[in-house]
Amino acid sequence: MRDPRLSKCPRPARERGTALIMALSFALVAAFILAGALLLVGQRMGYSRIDVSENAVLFIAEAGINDELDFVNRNITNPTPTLRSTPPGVRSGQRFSGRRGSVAGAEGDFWVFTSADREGTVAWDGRNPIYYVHSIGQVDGITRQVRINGTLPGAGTVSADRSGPVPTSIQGPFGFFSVFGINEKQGSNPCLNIPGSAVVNVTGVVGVNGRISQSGTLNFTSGQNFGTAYQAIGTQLTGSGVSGRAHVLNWLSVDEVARRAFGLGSTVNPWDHLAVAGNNDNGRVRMFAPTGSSLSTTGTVSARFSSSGQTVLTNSNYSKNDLMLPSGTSRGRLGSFEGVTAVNGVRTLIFPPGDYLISDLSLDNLAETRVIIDFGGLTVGGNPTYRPIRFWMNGGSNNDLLRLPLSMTVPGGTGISSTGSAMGFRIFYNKASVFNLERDTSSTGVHRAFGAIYSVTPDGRTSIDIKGGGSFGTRLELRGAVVADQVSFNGYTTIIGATADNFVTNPNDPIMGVQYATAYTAR
Amino acid sequence: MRLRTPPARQRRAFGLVELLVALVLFAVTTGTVALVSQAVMRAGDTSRVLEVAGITAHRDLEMAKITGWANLPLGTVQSTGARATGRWTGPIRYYDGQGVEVSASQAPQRARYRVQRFIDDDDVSVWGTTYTLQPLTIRRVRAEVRRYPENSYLFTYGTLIVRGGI
Repeated sequence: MRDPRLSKCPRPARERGTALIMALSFALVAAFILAGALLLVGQRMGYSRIDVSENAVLFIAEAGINDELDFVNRNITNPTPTLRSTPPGVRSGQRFSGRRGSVAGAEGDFWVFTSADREGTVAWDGRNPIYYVHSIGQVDGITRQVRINGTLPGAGTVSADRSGPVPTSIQGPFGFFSVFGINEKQGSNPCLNIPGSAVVNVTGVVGVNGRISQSGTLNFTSGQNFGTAYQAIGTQLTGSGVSGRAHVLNWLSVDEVARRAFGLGSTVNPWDHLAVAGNNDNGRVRMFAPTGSSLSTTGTVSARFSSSGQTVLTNSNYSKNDLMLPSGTSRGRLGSFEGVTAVNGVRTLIFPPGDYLISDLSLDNLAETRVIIDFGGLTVGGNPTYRPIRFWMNGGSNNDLLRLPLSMTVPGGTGISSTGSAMGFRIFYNKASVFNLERDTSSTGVHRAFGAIYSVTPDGRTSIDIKGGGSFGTRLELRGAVVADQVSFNGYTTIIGATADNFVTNPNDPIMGVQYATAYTAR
Repeated sequence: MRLRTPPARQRRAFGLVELLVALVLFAVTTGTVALVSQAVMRAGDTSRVLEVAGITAHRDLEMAKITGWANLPLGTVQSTGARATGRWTGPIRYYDGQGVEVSASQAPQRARYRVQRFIDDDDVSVWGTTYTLQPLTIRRVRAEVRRYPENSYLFTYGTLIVRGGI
């Protein structure tokens, strides 16, 4: 029988606290849901932050690569190999191998070093053409490594049609400056001398490490690196708002350039090396023979330097020097070439690609001579690697003179350019003398030359004098660059540096620094 | 056996307390859910903004690299001496929540954050009040990202660009 008292209760006993239980259950479920949501959001926030850091760390790691390239460029001339780059190895207190750095104002750090091997264990000596730069970036504990495989200028090639990579970096000696005066230690000569008789127009960058003496006119696209000793003589430079600065660019001496060009050790005398017949190309000098009007291997005959034991290159005295004479003959050959009418005395001197050791050079206009820079290697079967014609000048005691029209054969072609490309001809001058590049006064119109002249010595003993005509119409126009202890101008002269149609840098140029060249690895 | 039951008054009081506790608990739970939901939504929004902002900053620095060492703009001289410096401060760019750039005039209505690029040039050639690059000039490029309109700082991407580098 049911207890009647129970029927008065509005809820049975088992239902007591139901509301509380439901509320607690609701709270419990809500707590679980909230905890899950918070966990997910927290993770999502963390992942987002990781994404941000992962993006940022790549830029930081790349910054490390560029920072090291800059470091090498500033130290490549250091006589101590281990100071030319950052060697591998974990520094005290650091987590990773290399030098620690950062990008001021941005998050993260990088550790960077350069090695000679891919694995990053062998220090680079600053000479081996292949090097690796390793950089580890770190942002918020996230790390990323980037590695580049670079090559030094001189180790690469360009394609036959010149569409391939032509280095234009500063690391080659002629990639950036059209005119640079370096050292004024010799007497009181300034680094750059523009006398009142000179009118100089430069397409490209002009720079000096010391004084400019200017009373003539100097027009240039832009100027760089004018030192604190700069003296504003004249109006052109001051009108451009030039101000002095203490920064000095370091350049390799010609000695060191020669060592690097031929892969010689730091204690080797490069001129002794070049004096060995097998190490120079003096025997390749050819001259035109009248077997046809086109330049070919069969259309030329061998010429040779003087037999006096010195590597004298001159056309001023045929009885003394047989430079212009093919072997076994007594006189120069006659010929017609590129519109030049065959007249008695027209002589064509041809330099195939290679390195020529010259002690004294005197090529004057007195003998209707012309010089062909056979950049195309047409006389020796072509030059697919764009190897330039390089004059290495050392040892002679006389001043030198080049006062002849230059012509150039075009790689892959059959013709001759009267202007030529600056990348094909080099003069490395190491004498305590003056090299005179002058307009041929017997010709009319503009006298054009091409190529680059490099003349840097520890004691500032060299001078490059460039002389044009008395008017703009009779100017000397050099397509190329001049980097020398002292550079001096006379008359009307135009220097045309690197332009779209004037390649100045050649992949065979000597090593002056580094550049990013090939593989890029991020991991 | 006789069942012992509390007085009717006691039974009613217990039910009321129970109900009140339940109501309070329910209210607290509901309020907490509402508050946390808002926080979750805000956090989710921040997370998304971080992602989109990161993409935009990444894009900005990549564009700077593509523009290249020689073509990035020049600013004003900051210091002279052995290693003179210059700085270029770029315009503020506004982006909506999807990472789409909006004009400055539309920014108050649509922008969710802003990106500004700075370029610090180290080792330049000074020409009076202006400067030019020299071969060894290092260009430090930063993209600073902030929320908009709060202007609260989010992060800065940065890298170095040198001539001939990557």
